[in-house]
Amino acid sequence: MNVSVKLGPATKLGNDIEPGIAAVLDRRMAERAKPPYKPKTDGEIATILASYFAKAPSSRLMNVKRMGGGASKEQFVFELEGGDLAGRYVLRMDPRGTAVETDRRREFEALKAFEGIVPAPSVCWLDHDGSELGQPAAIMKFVGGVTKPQSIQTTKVSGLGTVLGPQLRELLGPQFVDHLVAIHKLDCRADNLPSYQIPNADPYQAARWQVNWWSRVWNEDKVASVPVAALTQTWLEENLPAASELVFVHGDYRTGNYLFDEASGKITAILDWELAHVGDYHEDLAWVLQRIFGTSEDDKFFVNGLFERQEFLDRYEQASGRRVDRKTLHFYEVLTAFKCLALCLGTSVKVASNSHNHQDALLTWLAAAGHMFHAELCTLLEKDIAA
Amino acid sequence: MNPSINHRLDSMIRAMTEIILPALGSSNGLATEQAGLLLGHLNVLKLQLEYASRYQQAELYDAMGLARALISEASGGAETKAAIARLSATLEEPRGNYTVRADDKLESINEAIENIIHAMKSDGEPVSRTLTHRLILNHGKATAERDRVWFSAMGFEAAESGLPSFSDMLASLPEIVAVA
Repeated sequence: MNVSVKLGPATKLGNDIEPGIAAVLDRRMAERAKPPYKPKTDGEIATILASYFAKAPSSRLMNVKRMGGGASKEQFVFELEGGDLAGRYVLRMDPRGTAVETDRRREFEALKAFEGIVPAPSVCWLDHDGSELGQPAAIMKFVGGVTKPQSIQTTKVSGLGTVLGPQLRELLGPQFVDHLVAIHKLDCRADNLPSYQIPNADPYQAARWQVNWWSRVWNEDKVASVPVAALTQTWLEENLPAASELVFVHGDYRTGNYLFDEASGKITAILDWELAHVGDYHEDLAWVLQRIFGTSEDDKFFVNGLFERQEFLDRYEQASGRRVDRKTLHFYEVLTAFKCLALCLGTSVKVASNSHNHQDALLTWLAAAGHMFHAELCTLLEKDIAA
Repeated sequence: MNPSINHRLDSMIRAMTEIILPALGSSNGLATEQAGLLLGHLNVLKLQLEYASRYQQAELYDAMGLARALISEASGGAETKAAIARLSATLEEPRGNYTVRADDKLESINEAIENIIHAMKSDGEPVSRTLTHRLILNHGKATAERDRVWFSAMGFEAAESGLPSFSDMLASLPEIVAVA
């Protein structure tokens, strides 16, 4: 069951932001004053995990190893041998500062809520404040699969412009839409999502919370002023769409954030739920449509390497029974490009300059992608001004 | 005589390529990834080094052009007027040592431009506001394109992006002897 909201006048923007997100952003600012972060070695993590699993003495900790990639979270794979807990696991933990500051508890709740609904890592333990594992962290079962075809060589950063090719496109495309529709079907007022608040004070609150969230991130993190970013902020504030229906939004739904089995083409896990929140379904659609996640093949542009733009929207409408409102979609496309600009040209540089991440060199590399979002914002806003 | 920055970058690139990366092998994924990134950063720095100062001056030159256009076109109530006055003052502020302060001057101007945008939301004259938005977007398009080319060696751009080449972009930079 999804939540319906009554239509009403837009309220003043002010500081209206989801309380759970405001708390994350407050904590982030408190962390800023701390000294540089020293990433832990595999051995140090093994010691921490051994202490954590002392409560399960029948299991033996083995093969602790850092996983590559990811400037957002640090990930280590490990095994437990013997006892009820036997299996392969992933420790996912916050560095001191990250490209995207989020809450491990919210992510944990989302993963639990979607067990049996869409393929996702099965989450087992949570240390939301880092009191036991040193940094806020969650531990989940390891899931096999790849984020891109191993046969296709690319020099691009993982998840950006992943070429899937026609065969995988055919296999993955329908699942990609079906899982998104399933995510949007979840009852976002369910008791098992206590960390999520519902933006139902008025129909504009869903959009307002997002604008205020990402405006705050940009205002706190920008290392250089960008006039188009300021123009975007005012445009977003003046063009909030009313949400007719509130759904559970994944927040980072794209190729690169799901694992699949290359032989069968079956999606084995939807990943990276850290930006999930309750909001307008157009937000996930706009994220999928971001050009940086797409590919050009045979003179055609494929969003997420899977569909041509209109085909994706048609399929979503068909599978969900919802209507895609073009004006609302445009608003969320602008918001999405602004969000990406804030993360690349703002947070990534700020965090790296504080030496608060395990991948500072990757963060300063990613910063350059911000100029693509700057260009995208100009294109999107230009259409609006011309209209 | 000191070794040039270029030579020092070359020697670091060679050490990364021929000694450090092969020694890391595939056993330490994060270290290998980081080393690859360092190598990439060094190569991009080497490409940009010779032109960095000129590039920075071009950015400043263009921002000053936008600032002048906004001062001439923006109109509105008290907040807008105050923001225009602030931008004019920023533009006229003496810069001291040119090379050292080019970045600071650029930031002051862009900050004052942002201030105008926010002020005009409050009491800008509507027709003037649309016009200033066009000016800002045109400037944004040009700077975003130039920045994308400046960082194109980082590999984010699709082959069919339609962007000018690095050398064409450099050739299009204004020849600046001095900026007021």
